[in-house]
Amino acid sequence: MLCCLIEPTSGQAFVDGLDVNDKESRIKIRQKIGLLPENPGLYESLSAYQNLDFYAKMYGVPADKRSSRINELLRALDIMDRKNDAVGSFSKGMKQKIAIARALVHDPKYLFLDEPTSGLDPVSSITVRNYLMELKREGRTIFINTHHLDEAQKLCDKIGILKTRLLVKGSPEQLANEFFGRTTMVELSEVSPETLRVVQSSKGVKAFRQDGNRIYLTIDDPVTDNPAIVAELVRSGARIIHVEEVKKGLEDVYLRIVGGDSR
Amino acid sequence: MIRFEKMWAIARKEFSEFRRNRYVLMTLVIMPLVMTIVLPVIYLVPVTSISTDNNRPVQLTFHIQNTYEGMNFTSGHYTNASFTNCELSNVILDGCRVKGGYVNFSLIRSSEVNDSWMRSTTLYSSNLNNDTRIDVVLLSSVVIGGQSDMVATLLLLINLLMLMFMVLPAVLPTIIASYTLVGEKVNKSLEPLLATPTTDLELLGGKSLSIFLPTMLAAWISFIPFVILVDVITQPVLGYFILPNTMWIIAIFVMSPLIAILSILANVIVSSRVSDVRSAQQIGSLVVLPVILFFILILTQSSATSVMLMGLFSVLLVGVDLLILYLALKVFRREEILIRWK
Repeated sequence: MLCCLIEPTSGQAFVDGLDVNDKESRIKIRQKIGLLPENPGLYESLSAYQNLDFYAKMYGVPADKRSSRINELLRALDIMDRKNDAVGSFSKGMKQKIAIARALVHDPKYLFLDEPTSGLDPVSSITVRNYLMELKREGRTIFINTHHLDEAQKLCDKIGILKTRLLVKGSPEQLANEFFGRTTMVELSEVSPETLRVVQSSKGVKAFRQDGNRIYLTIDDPVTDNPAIVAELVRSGARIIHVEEVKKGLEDVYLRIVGGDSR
Repeated sequence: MIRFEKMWAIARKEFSEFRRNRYVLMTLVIMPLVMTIVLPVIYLVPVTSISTDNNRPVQLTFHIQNTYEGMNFTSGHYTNASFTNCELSNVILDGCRVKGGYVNFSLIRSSEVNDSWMRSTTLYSSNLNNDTRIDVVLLSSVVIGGQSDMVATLLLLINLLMLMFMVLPAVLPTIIASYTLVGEKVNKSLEPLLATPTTDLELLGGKSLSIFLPTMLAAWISFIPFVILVDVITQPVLGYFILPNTMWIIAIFVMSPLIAILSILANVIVSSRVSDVRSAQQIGSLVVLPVILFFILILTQSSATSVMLMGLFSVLLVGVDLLILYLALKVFRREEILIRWK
């Protein structure tokens, strides 16, 4: 709907201040957006260059800039050596790269990418991810729809988890903190009853659990509370081997939200 | 504002794809080839070969002894006589020459009849030239000039070939459109195309152009060898080059493009309702029916009426094309296409 492919049935949405409900604005919105659909949808009998050239024309890229822009993208995505080959002879991953190049051919302000690394081998995935990071650093707004949570965590500043409707949104850290709190792991040479008493009575500890010689503490503000807790444990005679903040991944958050949501 | 460079870019992209689509290429070559070469040969050559054989005049030797001019004969048997502008009834002629006038209820043998009216007469082993005949029996006789039955058949067949030729601009778009429109949907390339900042009219215009140009090119290019072939086959019998004539020029240069536009737009509408190439071709080809019906009507008319009817039909076609363009634009709404074209 934001790409103006489907007409809204109700409600309002704006892209760069332009209303998607307004027919006149839709052409301008489409000009600002680069789309990578779920299926690459390339013209298989045309070469990689011809595919990109056609879309460059459709997006109104000036004739004198078309060739250099296409070559720049082909180089960045490491497909320059196959530019004159028919797309039909490409692997799924190669096609995906061409489709990504197509989304970028008119240098759009906003990118909508559906599973951008789908079908790519690990090396190509890294190439694409690095390129997306570069685009992100340039200040482009990128929407990624993905089931690769690891990829989303690496690439995205903000994440929305959807299951029919938007369930949650926020940065990966915010979501992890929201669903798991901030956890600090303290590894000791030995956990005595005295150690557990000290942990329980320490300021800032909301909950804790023991796993062998490790104690996991749920703390609101580790930056302030962790030094004090460590100091008290040392004073009580406990021998600390290792302290670290436990990071919960997006996968944990996803499983907590979607796995627990049977709707 | 319509951006023609975008329409042209779409059309050019389609041409590049056609060049690699064997099915479209074969259709663009084979169908016109059949219309241009195969059908004229199949239909016309047998007729002309029979006609040419029969048109050899009977070898006659005249020994004219009596000459009559402007007289009436109501009975009698005449041998080796010449009749000019006479009225002959209930007579028997042997080795005579008749020029002008009327011949009724008579028997003519080993004679020659030129520029005359004949009624209820039997000819045996004679030559007829440029006569008007009503209820005349020909036995071993030859019609040399005028509109013989053979010539009439030939003219009818040439008109029938026009019907076939008009099917070309109606059918070719069905095949090509099914690939450019439904094919785009089947290949999943429609979504990125619809995401581009082109208007509905530009998309529709580009697609239509990509169908219209090869169709018309195939029809017009194949018309040239068709004309040559038909003329080569029929000239010895007709005595003149029948093509191109007014009727055919209207058909090829006015009606063909209008029929092609009708077919293209009808296929755009059909494509919005079907999801696979074959269904699009089958339903889209129904557009041929009104075209065939019209040309059957044309074939039953005289030449002058046909030209007038074709002019009228051309005007009607312009109206229908405009109406169907309006409908196609209503159907071709990009924001609904991805949801509806399933």
